[in-house]
Amino acid sequence: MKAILVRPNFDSATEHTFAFAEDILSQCREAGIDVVELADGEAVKKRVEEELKKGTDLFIFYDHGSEDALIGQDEKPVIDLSNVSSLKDKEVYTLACLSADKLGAAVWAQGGKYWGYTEVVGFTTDALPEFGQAFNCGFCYLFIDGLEHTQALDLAKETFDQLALDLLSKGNIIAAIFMRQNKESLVSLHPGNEPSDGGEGGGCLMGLFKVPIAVVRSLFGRR
Amino acid sequence: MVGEKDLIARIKKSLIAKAEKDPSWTLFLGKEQLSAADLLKRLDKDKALRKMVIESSFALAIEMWNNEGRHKVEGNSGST
Repeated sequence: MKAILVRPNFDSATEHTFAFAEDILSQCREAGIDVVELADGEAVKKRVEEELKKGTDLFIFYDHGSEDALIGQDEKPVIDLSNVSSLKDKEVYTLACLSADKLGAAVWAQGGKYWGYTEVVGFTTDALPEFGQAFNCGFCYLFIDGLEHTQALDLAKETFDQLALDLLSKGNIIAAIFMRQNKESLVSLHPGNEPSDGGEGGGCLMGLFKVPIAVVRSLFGRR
Repeated sequence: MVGEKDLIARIKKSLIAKAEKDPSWTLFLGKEQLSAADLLKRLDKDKALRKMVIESSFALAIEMWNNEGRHKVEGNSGST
């Protein structure tokens, strides 16, 4: 399998996601995936398009995104709706805000598969190893363990849930909240799972439930 | 029942304690970088963020509740 890993590094957030992607690079190399890394100044549209033209099976992108673009080192899109056809029939694995929305749908419409987030992604500095594990686990399920997308997504969401509960038990409440929120917006677009029009998000069972005081106190009243 | 104001107050208290322990604590939210103090202000002003935090907190409470229940059931079934 051939892969391209794009990881810009131009602000504090990208410093962390750059580090998260290091694990992906190691996993690729250990698994014998032929990976081309476009990091820092190489993470720009021109270089990305050059490498995509050479052919690849898997496109990996770690960092800032918008609904219709993945943002490179020069803070301009490396992929957007104007060049999304270069990802036709490709596997795309991202850690980027919002991009699973329009860009993911466009990749899916061209026969590609898209792993990403439909909302803004959040993470905190008191739980960087846990967030790294969460953001990277899908890659392992898909490309190391070789699971189908549906199964990989289910397992990834379970991983996010477990990590959120672990963070909560350590008193890292904000980290747990964003871990859960990231899980809610994680999607895998592939044949058999088409993009939705955004009706799913929110996880708002709470309008239906009233939680007993003891449960909530036990969570938020830690010593 | 715990009201939303109580819940936010609890979260703020936890955030203040976190910031005292680790002044460099930061939340990265997309391109934004928020200190604990920034987040405390945002929780007052940003209704969407506040709503998300409240909903996620309640959902986490339910998940923890379910998880504990599941562990108890598994523990009981293993003891026979």
